[in-house]
Amino acid sequence: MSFPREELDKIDSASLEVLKDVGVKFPDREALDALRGAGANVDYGNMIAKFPESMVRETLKRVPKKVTLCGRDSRHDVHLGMNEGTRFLPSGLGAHIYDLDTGQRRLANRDDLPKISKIVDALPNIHVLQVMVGPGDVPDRVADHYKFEAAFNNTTKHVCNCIGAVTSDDGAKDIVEIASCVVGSKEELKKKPIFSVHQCPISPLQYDVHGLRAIMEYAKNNVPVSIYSMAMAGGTSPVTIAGTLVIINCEYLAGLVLLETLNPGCPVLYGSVASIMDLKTGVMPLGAPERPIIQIGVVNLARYYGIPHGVISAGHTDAKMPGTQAGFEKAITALPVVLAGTELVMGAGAVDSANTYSYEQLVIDDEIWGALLRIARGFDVDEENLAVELIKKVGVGKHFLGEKHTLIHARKHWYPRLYTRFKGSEDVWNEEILGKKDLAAKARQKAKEILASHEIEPLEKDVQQKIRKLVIEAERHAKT
Amino acid sequence: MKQLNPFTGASLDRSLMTQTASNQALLKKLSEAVEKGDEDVATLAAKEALSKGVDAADAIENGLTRGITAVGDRWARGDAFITEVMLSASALKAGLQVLEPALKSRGGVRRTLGQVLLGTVQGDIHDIGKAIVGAMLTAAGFEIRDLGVDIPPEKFVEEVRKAKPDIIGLSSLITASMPGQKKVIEALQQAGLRDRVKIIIGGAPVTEAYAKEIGADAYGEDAFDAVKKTKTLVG
Repeated sequence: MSFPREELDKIDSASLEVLKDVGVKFPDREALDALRGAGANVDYGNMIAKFPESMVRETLKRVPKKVTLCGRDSRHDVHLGMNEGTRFLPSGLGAHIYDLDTGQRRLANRDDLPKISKIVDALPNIHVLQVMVGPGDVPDRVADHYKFEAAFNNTTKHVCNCIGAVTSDDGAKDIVEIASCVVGSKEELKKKPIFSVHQCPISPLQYDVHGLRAIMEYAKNNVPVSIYSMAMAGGTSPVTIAGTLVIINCEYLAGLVLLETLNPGCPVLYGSVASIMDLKTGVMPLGAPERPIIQIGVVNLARYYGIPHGVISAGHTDAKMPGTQAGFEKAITALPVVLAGTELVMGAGAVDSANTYSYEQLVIDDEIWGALLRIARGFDVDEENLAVELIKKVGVGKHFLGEKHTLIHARKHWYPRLYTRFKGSEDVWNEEILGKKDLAAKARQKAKEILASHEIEPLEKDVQQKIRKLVIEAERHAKT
Repeated sequence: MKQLNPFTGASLDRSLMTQTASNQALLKKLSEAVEKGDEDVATLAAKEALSKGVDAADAIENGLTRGITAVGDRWARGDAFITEVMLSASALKAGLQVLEPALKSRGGVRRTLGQVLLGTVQGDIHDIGKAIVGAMLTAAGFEIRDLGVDIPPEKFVEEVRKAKPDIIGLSSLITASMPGQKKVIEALQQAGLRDRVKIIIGGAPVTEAYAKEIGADAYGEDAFDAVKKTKTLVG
């Protein structure tokens, strides 16, 4: 799927026309003042800022081209803007989850948070943690506090979090403080951002007040912020993909200009969770084949502007639980974006249009992502790989099974850890690991094995205690 | 499953208890050379073992065999490539080339689960399935003699007469060559040799029912099953 430069030029000029003539709503005085000071035409009554083209172009010249999302352990650092291939993170902001023991759909609670974190820490093809559900058994205003506490205690990978509607600037300050405990100080956090956030505008063309204040606070602290539009083609953006890309682009560029005005040089990733609206049912289908087209459009726009992209939603499904539809939709929405070289892809663990989450699906997705990454790796053509000497040695009619060359290079191929390939009938392969159980059951078993045996380097005791204290304090405030 | 030494049928651990520390290090080296599929190291370690006075039977049973068993077990669990088993089988062979003459010179005989004669029947040139079965049977403790592909019935008869294998494994990958398996059995009957060997057949088009129909003793659905069934034929 190609987006030729002239098409991107057209989307770009259309976006700048909309930003100049229609503008974007920022329901916050500080934001409007900052934009006005930087050259925007501000309508304070409607809280809308309109952007002259030069203002946007100037900002684009100053944005960082590369961003590193740091892990507590630097081996898990993710470098964006360097074409290092696709990295995956779980989808987020869910309220419901299938219980790992009973299989029942229920509200997520605080016990789920460390479990999810630990499983993600153990899965090789999920590179960044997002605690995919919020706890329903704590006050909304401290849901993120609980998520980050569980995350920092149970992974050394980078932690990413969708802000949602509940965290405002005060919540953001708390989270920055919690993360500062992990790395040592606020100053250190600016150098080593061990977490990042993503926030969606409320399409078309406006920001929600709380989310806006949160990303402003995060940006001031150099926390990488991804702005990802959740436009629904036909509902909250034109039904056409080109028109939807214009809306997405306007929302991103407007947010980018604001955050770069507040803190020049802060990392603002270009993301997208957009889809179409299903005009028969009114739902936003996350497994729709249009989604990868839109997302690849966004990735191309980010490259066009020289901006790191990240948190691109793909590998989702509208199926209620793991199964055939889930596997199909996840594969067809994720593979194209992986082949397009998308750097940070969000979708693991979610089923039911991201309304319900599943431990089993999280483990299954790790398996799918591994296969997709294998496809993306392609193959090499050189003397070693052409293997002419080996072909001469083996000759006609023999086989390559017993060759050292086979063993060395076989490791480049992908091997399933959950999927069954064994040919024999069930009574032959009667051991559980070899194929008799269905996929979800095997994934459940794997998740339980990880929980029972996976070990993570703990935070120092005093850091754990400091964080606990901050969470308790915030919870006390939330209740009063 | 209780793990017995396929060469002796004895528990592996008991025999180790009497060995000295340096012998144990050498046995470990032999075992690891085979497990890693390193022919050169297996050969060198076998020579070293003999020069340091390690008993050849001991070196085979508690050195080489341990390595091949470990790889075979990993494969059966789904944790090893077929290639690893094949390379290990080659390393085993390399070690045996050094140790077997020493064993025989003292009147010893290498104990195996049995000798298996393998071949793809006449009219079929598919080699690879049989090669896999051969490697897996080696890993399980059998001695393998592989005749190759497109083997006429009379060749099997001649080999049974000469080498006296315990078992014959007949491979056929295409429907058109399946009657070739039947012809081998008929030829053995005519030569009066059918009772001297057990016969196991396999290959993609072959079925349990067909095995019964042509009078084979067993059918291996795949390499894993072939190992299991071959063991029952000698058990």
